[in-house]
Amino acid sequence: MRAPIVDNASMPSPTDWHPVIPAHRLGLADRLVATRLLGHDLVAWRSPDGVARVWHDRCPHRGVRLSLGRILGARLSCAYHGWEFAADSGRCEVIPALADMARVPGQTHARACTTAEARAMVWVRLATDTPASPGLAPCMVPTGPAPGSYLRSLAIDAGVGAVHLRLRALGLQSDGPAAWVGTLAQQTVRLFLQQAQADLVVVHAWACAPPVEAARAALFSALGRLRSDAESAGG
Amino acid sequence: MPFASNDPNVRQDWLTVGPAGRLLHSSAQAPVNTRLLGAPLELWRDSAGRPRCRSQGRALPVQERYGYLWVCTDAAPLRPLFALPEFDQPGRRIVDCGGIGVATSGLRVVENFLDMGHFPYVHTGTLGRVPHTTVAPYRVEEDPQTHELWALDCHFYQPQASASAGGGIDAQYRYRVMQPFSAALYKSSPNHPGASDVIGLFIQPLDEERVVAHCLLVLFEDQLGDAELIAFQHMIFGQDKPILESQRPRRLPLVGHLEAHMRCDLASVGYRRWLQARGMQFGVHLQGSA
Repeated sequence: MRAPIVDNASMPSPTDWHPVIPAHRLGLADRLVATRLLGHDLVAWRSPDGVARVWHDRCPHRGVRLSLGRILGARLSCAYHGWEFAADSGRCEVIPALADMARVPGQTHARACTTAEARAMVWVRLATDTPASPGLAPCMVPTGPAPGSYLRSLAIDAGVGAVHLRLRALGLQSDGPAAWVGTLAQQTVRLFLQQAQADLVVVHAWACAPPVEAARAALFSALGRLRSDAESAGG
Repeated sequence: MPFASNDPNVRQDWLTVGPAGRLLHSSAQAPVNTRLLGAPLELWRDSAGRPRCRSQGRALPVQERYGYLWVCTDAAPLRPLFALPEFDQPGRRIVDCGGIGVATSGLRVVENFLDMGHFPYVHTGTLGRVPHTTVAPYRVEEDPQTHELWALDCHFYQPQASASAGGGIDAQYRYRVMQPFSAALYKSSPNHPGASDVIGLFIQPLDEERVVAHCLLVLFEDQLGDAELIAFQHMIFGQDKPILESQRPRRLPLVGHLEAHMRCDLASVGYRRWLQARGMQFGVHLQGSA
């Protein structure tokens, strides 16, 4: 596992809120999505109660990626030995190899991140681990206008500093934590920057108004240029 | 490039470099190339038919046994190669299933080989099936003579225990760990009551986080062709591979609280303790490193 990155341009902190995935990509008890933030492997899913969950993507038993598993009711089941972890607490509640479930030890947990939904994105704080901490006030969750119509998520092989430079050069401005707003291809766009690792940024791009087909194509081209420019800047 | 470790558990013991059949048509001028412990290795058969090995200009001890080549990367192996008398027992089929590359520590691969709890989830419909998930109590002990590790009195319900199994059985297992990177499974033979089939797992560590897992079948089996037996083992290994390659850390933690252990993990815990008692370093996750 990589150490969390330190980027001079933005100094990401594990106590900051970071966007990890557009909220609509997590259907109800639908799928487990592997993602990455500040060098940590994460798994995102939505439990049947409608709450988005983001956990460290590692089973506490044998270190297997939980994103290889499946959703069973209000629990996530690991692909390796079928251990089941409760959505709300991350606590291991079922160990199928044990004859007596009463012997499941209470302290075995999947590591949950503090998670919130705001601005049509799922956000996490890495700083606190299991269980999801109620001590972090919901008012600290990033606020701002809803981003509009989802375009795409774009992985850029560059540090966040190089992406910030390109966004400023294009005239975009900060729109709250990890968020940018401005004009691309004559359309108003909102971008959320997920710092996957030191040299990988995922840009989640939204158009403020649903673009017509031609405008959508122009936006995709502009996003492609943003990527190639940021990657060729070598930063 | 020198060998990647000074750990005597790998440097002064015999490690497999694959099936001996690979040396057909080889010579000192046209050797077979492979890797072991992070260094390149050349193998060939000399004019007298003996296997030879050199690495970085230096000759290394090599022997041919159980259909495989075994190399010691130090001039002086600490012990002879383990005994596998079933290999020479009349009436048994010997099938080399070929090597499968796995991007993880070989210790993870051996530990998975010793684990029954994953059968219903990873090998669904063959080696296990929900709801038959309980791992019944079994014993783990070290043989005081050979210092090999054994897991005894193991049994598990299997819908299709092998390529030739006709239906579900409560398969009887004994596991044996001969070396940190060599293990064998003794399993009730589906069509020969009272007899045990042997499945050998011999790990060739290319480096600390990449291996080739070689699988040897030593069976009482007269119904299926080699291709069917090999295909079954490949299916099983193919199911294990993505699980093994997703494990973090890749190297096996022997101590600490990084991984939780239950009663059903007795073989895994026994293997880790056995490795720790031997001072195993190669392929081991060091406490505190990320």
